[in-house]
Amino acid sequence: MHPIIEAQQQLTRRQLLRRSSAPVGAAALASLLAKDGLGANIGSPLNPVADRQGLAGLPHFAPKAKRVIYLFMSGGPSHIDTFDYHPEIRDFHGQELPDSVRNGQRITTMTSGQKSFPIVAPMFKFERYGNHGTWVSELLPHTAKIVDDITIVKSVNTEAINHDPAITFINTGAQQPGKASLGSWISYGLGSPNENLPSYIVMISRGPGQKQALYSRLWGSGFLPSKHQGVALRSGADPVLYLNDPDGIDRPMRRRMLDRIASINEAHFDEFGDPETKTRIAQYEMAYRMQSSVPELIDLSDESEETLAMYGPDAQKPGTFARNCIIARRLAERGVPFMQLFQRGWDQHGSLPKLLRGQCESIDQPAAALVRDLKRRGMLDETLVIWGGEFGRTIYSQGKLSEDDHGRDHHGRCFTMWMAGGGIKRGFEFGKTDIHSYNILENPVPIGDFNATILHQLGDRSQSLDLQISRSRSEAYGRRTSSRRQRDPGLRERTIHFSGCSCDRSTTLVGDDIHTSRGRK
Amino acid sequence: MNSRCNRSPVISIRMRRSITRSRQVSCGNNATTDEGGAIAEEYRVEYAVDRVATVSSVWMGVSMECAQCHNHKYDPFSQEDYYSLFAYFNQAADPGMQTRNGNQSPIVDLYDQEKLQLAEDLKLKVERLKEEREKHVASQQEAMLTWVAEASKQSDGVNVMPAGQTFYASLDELEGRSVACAGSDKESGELKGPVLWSEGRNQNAFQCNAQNYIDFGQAADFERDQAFSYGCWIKPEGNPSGAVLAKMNDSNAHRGFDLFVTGGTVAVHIIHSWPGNAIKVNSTDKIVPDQWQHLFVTYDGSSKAAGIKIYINGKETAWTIEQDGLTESIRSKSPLHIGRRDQGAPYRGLVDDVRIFNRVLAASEIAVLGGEDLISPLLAKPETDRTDSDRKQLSDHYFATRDEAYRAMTDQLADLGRQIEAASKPYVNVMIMSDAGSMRPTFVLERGNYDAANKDKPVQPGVPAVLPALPSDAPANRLGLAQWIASGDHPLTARVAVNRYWALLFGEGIVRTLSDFGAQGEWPSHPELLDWLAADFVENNWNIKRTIKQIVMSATYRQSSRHDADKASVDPRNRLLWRGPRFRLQAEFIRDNALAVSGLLVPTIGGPGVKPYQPPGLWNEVSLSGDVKFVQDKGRDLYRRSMYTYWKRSAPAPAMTAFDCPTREKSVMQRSRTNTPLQALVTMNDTQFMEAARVLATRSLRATGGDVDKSIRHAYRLSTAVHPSDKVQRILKSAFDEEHEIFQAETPRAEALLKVGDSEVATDLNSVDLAAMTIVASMILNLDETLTLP
Repeated sequence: MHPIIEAQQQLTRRQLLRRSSAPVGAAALASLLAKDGLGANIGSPLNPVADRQGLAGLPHFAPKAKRVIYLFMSGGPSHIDTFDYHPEIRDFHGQELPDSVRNGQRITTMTSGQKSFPIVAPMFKFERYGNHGTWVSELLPHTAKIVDDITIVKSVNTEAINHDPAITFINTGAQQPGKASLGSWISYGLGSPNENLPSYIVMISRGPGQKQALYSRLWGSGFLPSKHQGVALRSGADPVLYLNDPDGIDRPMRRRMLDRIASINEAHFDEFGDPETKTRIAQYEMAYRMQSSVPELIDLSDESEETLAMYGPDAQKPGTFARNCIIARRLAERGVPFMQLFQRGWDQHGSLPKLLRGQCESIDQPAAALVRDLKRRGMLDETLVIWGGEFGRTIYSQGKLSEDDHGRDHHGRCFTMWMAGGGIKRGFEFGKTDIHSYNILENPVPIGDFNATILHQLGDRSQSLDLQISRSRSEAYGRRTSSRRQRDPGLRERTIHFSGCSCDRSTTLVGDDIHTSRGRK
Repeated sequence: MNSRCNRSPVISIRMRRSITRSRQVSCGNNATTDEGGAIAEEYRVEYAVDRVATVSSVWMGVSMECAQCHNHKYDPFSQEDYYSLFAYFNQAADPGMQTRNGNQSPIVDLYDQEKLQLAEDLKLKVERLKEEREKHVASQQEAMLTWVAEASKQSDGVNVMPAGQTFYASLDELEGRSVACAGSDKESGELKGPVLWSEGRNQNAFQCNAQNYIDFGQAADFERDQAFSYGCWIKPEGNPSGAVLAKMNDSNAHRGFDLFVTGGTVAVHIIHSWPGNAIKVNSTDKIVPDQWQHLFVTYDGSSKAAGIKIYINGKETAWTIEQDGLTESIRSKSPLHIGRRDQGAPYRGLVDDVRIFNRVLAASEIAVLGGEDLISPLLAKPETDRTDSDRKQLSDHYFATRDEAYRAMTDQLADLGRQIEAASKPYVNVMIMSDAGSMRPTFVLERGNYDAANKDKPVQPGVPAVLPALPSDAPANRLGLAQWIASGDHPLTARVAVNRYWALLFGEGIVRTLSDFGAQGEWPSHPELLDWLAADFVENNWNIKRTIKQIVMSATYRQSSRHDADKASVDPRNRLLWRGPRFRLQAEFIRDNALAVSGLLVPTIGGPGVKPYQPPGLWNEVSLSGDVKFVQDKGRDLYRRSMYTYWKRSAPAPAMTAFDCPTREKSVMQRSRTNTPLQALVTMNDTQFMEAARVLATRSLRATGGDVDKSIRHAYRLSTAVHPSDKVQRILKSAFDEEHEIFQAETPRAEALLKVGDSEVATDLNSVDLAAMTIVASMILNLDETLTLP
């Protein structure tokens, strides 16, 4: 049995059972659809599937988080200049990076030809904040104020050394394109309580720094059904593609058209008995409702002045990260399970001191405001907020190091991300790097484990999903993938077809066996 | 950024002796990346891995991927089996990465046959014109001799400036940074770096010290198919190495041209991209250090090294070829520089009197520029003392400079030469798959890592041990593999293929897991049928059309797809085929169907990809540079079949992906078939579908003389292939009546509705009638019956 087809048929049968006796039209859906807003009906924690339309059996236990807001910093923010601070590094500023630190590890061909690798200490001030004296750079004054609400992970690491493979890896679990994205897995596995909105929403914005390309595969559904792909919420006239009725067709006319289409389809169903016909009737109703719910979603007129001010000066500017953060909060209120905000412009190969400052400014206040806003509304506990990019940056200068200028190349051996809410510890730091912020000394978190953690918070225990988005595993949860799979043939069946072999492959890097859990043979 | 050519068969037939170019094109399935910083070998291996996955799943219905890292856990494939298959693809010549300057080799050039014929015709014309010119020369001997006689009597009158000068800088300033010139987009050049002037060959000269140069802005903008000549006086400081004059963009693979001195020789570069697509020649004669000498280069626009002549002090010098493969543009936006290229190659020494011409100068003309007047001494010789060579030189000089008809014919010949060159060049090149010259050894890669070859485990190209052996005479390359796969005895190939055709028609395969015939796949519902179809397929020479025809003409396929509660209770999934197939059309067919029923569809086969309607901004939102704009096509290209829709992998056509069209990043054996609200939004609101509704309404009203009932029936029949029931007809008619009333009351709404799309709105129909019928047609295009097969 092909597991995806199987799942689709289960859904279809379920939908049929639930819908065939109901009258046609908007009223029919009222019983199926969760209400908007804070009181979203997530269903019983133990068996919420019926309402969420995810995979049978998921979640495996009452989840800590009901949704994720992923603030994705595309380009690779410098962990050195933001969070991962070692004051001693200032003593080594300008000195050559010792060979023992790099230890033969591969680096990109953009800097592998450099004759010199001078250490650059951050050209920014750092201070300690919060109850535990957490170092935060002057670039992130607002984030500094929420350190007691977040967990900073300083030991995330990736096998990729360039943007395309790294961003594809962190979002889909494989460096080569073609796999399903994290958000689409969550939509597939856990479903959504809100059928008026897509279960995976993507928003894109640009900061002032150097940009890298994005690809719609980063929120694509790969081999999963396309209903799970991320839907881009855009700042223009059509916030969701094809949302607006054509000129000349108003809402009442659309309503009449849909009612008549439904009557014809009903007649068709009576003749052919295809459950897909019933599903189609329902999907057209959902499209109609989406045409109202999306404009209402992005209309910020009901936000208070005070709330808008919290998110900073860009809060009402369409297409900005700040406005997208507010919309993400509104989506969270409506129960949407996965929102991903891409902020572009973190690729500081040169002019880092100037460009990183502007880039940080563009996200600092809105990101901190989002956490505070969720917290004061009592939503932070059930909303997992994640901040981070596809990798970090090198301690050594790319290009010439001058008194006030330098660049940094890509660095995947360690980088920093933060998480908040959704059952994650508050005021906590995890992982430790060496003073060069180059290698990990304690608690490495490979991308696979990071993604597994996200899924774990959402209630996925069996790894049926996280297998798909994690190819290298650690013992962070005390489990070994292969043995797990051998014990659970059903799991094996679900996973094996999707992506060929879904077992872990530790693509350990040159000259180093430390950070991947399974090492070389 | 990953990109990939868009064709699926990976097995090349390159090794066959008679191979057509179009077949070579069909074997290109090269994924590449051009991302800065990437390590090429990592990608080369990944792409071989992708090819193994594609070949094993497409042709054999097995997933070999597991065995990349370890022995397959469910199917009988060892890691050695995997790398034996991998070894066939480990030979690919493509390096895994490419630059952003065009296609990565291996490529195949494609030619337009009509243009090649044109080139042949033009060559005949050239021959004829050359004969004509010779005749002209013969007929003008008297005039020539008269001129020689006249000129001999006069003193210096022949020493005139050659025609066609497009740039000139005398470099006589002696101070300041502003340098006078003629023929630039700027009024004067600007000296950058140390201001150094010196006494020159003719008055003063510019002194280059490798720190300074003169920027003359945009000048001497020549393409490779244009003739031009250039040069100047130089006094090199010792034996410098650098560009005396150049219009060349170092940072774009040195595109442009220059006059270069190095180690006492004179070199000429004419470059599209260095070194692969460029001309370079080096003079055999040397220049003398610390002395004034005149350098001049002529180029005839032929794109060949043979089209270059180098003159030192007016005397043509022999040269040797270093590169001779120029086939693309040499135009660059870099300014004309004296003293260095755009960025590099600074020259050291004096420069004076820089001149550039838009034609090939004759030797005699260059002699004039170089102050070595060859003609005057000849004229001064008594006729009786002149040698044959002298006479020829005088004759050449006369015709090249004094005979308008001769010059016109020469220009025409040059023009024909350029036309021949243009017509002979390929209209496009395409990346293909081919093997590297020498066999690359293959080893088992530990845990599948590209850089972890286990040198103790070498493998040879071969096929999995569990499958039939290769024929003993099979070559150890992809041809051998292809022969094995297509031998007819292979247990999987034909079964996998006919199963896929079956699934296309029935919605599901006889084996439901199209890509997995292994232990994890599903058992066939009708094993004997599968065997029979496969055998029949092979026996009839793999005739796909015949197989499909057999299936669609079967009683099973032609059954009604009506529901039957009794049968459904026994076999709810119709695995036993008690009813005919019923499933949603795939993405391409949804759109093609709307275009076809409206009559908009352009059924032309082949041609470049097209860009039909798409919401604005999608390309730019993800682009690297922030200025990649989708430019929608016009006219017929809006209505081509969807298989011709241009596919940008980083932002594919959204109306197609909404209906489960794969992204084409890797081979997909089985599409999902979902039913979503976003699909409803596409067919309700996409310009393409609303326009199709309007045109379908127009077609139906016209076909029935405006009879509403008949029009509705007509549109429904076209869209669903059946007649509407009375009930359906009634519902659609009531829709027409009600919306007609609305549009009648608010005619601007009708007008607004009809404006959708680029095609012309019918003027022979009442716009209110048409608008109401457009609403009905849009409803029809959104019916389950329309979107579903049959």
